[in-house]
Amino acid sequence: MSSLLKMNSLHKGTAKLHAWLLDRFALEPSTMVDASDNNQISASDTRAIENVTLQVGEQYPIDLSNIQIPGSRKGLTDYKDIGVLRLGLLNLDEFDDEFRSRFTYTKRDWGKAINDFRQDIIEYFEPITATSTAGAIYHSQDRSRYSENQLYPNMREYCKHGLDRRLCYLCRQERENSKYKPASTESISRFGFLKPYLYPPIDQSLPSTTLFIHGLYPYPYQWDGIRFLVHHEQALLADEMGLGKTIQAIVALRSRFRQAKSKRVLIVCPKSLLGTWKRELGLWAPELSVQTISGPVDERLHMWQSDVHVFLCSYETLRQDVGYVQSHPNWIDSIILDEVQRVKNPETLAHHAVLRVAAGCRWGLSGTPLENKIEDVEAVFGALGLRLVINDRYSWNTKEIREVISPVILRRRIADVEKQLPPKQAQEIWLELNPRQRATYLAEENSGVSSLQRPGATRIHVLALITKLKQICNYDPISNSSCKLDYLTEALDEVIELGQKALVFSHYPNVTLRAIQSKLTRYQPSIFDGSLTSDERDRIIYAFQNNATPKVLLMSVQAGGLGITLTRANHVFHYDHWWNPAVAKQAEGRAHRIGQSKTVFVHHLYVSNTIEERIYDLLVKKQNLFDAVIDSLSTDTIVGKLSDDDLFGLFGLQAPVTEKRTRKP
Amino acid sequence: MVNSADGRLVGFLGVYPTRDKRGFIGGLLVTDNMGKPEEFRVSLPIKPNMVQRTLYGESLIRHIGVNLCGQPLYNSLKTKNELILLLVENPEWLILAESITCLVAHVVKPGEKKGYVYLNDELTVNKLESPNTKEKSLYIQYPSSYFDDKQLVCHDIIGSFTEYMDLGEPFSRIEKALDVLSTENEQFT
Repeated sequence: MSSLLKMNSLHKGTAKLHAWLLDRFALEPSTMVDASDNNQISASDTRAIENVTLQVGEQYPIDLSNIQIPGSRKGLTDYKDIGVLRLGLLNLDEFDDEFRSRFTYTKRDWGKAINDFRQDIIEYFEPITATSTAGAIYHSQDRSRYSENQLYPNMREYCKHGLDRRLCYLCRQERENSKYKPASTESISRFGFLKPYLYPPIDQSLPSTTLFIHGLYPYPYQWDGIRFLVHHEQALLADEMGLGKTIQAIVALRSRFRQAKSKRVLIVCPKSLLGTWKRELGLWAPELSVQTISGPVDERLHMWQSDVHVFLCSYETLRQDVGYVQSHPNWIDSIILDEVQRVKNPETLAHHAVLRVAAGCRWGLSGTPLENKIEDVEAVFGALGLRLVINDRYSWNTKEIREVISPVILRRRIADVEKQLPPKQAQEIWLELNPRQRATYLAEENSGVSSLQRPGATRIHVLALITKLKQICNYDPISNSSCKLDYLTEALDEVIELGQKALVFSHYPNVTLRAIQSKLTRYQPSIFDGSLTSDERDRIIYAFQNNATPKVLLMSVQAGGLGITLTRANHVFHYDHWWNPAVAKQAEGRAHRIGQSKTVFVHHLYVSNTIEERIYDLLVKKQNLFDAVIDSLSTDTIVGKLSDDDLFGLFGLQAPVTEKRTRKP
Repeated sequence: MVNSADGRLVGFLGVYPTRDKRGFIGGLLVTDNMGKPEEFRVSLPIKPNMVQRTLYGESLIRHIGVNLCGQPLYNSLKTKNELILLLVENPEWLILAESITCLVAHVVKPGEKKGYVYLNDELTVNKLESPNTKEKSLYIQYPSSYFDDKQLVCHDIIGSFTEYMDLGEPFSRIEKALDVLSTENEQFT
């Protein structure tokens, strides 16, 4: 539809005006007609305008002749050019839109609407004025709090108690006691949200310093994986365990943000990996803001409303909250399903929940081979928004399935890319305590801190409390739950499936290793600790090196840390850590030594928001202090370098003042 | 080697249509010499009505780019003192040089109508070798008020910035960010 300009009579300037209109606005000549006879106005008309009518379709004729310009005796028709131009530019759609957006009149009120519109037209003669501005500063060092702490440990934020905010025991107590953990703290400002879009595009040729924190850079095969994901809206990255699927997905995600293809992303992973994902996002995509969804339902609802780039939740949480996600269409535009084999059963609620998230970009990550069972492939690819066309499912074999899925799956084996890998590849896994485990932990910590506040408390008491808490982080004997064990079980599944073997090191053979041994029976683990005789030790080592079982060796760091060769294993799990990292390195040396033909993958297990994280931070902070003594392997040397304030400070306490004895003259 | 752009900032000024195509939003992105964002300022949408469009005619884009976006955005910058160069997306906005203190230049885009640029006697275009642009060379246009010495200074500064970044690229970031902003906030639609 186009506008219809009617003029009852035309003045002498019409020809000039007519030509000007046609030229400038490319108006169709047929849109300008003489109202008296509906004939097209020609450039040769010389009559004067007496009145001008805008006729919008058949319904809304508006007589503009008598509109008065405020402060003037002249009517609108005295400003013929402007009035006519205004009319000439309006088309029916614009007119209707403008009317409807400005006025909500019923048809009976058209008289008033027309008057308002006349007034509006007069106001249109105002010049365009400058608008206000808005914006934000993004300093280069304005990285996420995590990465900032990593890089500049001295630049911590201090709490109202004058202590490091992350370590302050009093602040943590307040957070625990408050009903709501304010999710809004994770939210970012309107312009903070824009930050990822203002970074340069991700390009391998750019200097690493423009993309990643110092010391981090993907391997060439990881760049291939990143490009594969970026170029596929639906895809499965199925690299073998240890090749860095998480990193590849994060960098690919970062690239999508920089292309403005993603605005809100949901990452679904096993609960035990939430902490690891959050840490890795902080390292590899510090400009993205992340909200982990967990806790009671009312708290989660609050968290979902956070204005962040990435939501992180477990499959269980998504199953419970999918209704909320589904009620906001087009809200989540990308979803990453870590350990996507978890939704291979199409009958499960988790599978249905994933399907209900209407995200266009869907990536799956899995180290477990899927192609052995057509139903599994079908279900997993269904969760990724891909449908396999299968005519006769019974005649399909693994090779055929591989061919069909090959365009949307990328799987590299360690052997394929080993030349690009260093001989030893270390990874930190940050876990969250299970709810019941946390209850035990907090009860023990509260009781311990109360004891430390009593007179006579010494650093020995602090060290004893630390040991107790670390053991609960390893395994809670009251609830028989352990987030580390949950993770270890899943990781060992993959290790065993790949035909590889693993060593699990702990400093607490009696309290920890024996507790978890009974839960790992399907891997037939042996315990290697100081209680073994020399013959027993030799027998276990021989069996591990030469036989199919045991596949897993649970080792005391003190007993297994030195002198033995266990090169049959290429996965090392540090279940807990002592003060001196050199002790862990010695333990890793059992697998990473002459005779080892594979890359050794070292997995450091830590629990976030516990004494383990506080010690980790303290050791980072004191790194320079330790460098001089780090090779001595002596725990006492390390602990000896820490002051009483350092140790009591782990619990937000001040060290008790000790009275110095004065010698009598 | 000491890079003359080290520690100094470069700005990029662009004006783009609003989502409803009825107006314009201006954006000024300030980056360091590696292209990392340091500050971003936007105008609220400017929506000239039909009569205003008509009355301003061909001067509309210049008026919006210079008077309604360029000057207010530049004046609102917190990093103004560290900004040594402002690159404008449209050569018509080079007259900003008369009202702001930092240097102003225009990077000619590969597809830009070169005839318009080159044939205008009042404007000067210089060629600069650039390792980070696809075409390996960059055409820079300076305000007519810049004589040889100022052009040389400008040329050196731009050359040092091109060491690590493609100076034509950040404009697309502004456009994407404004698009996201308008989808997320009705105020900017």
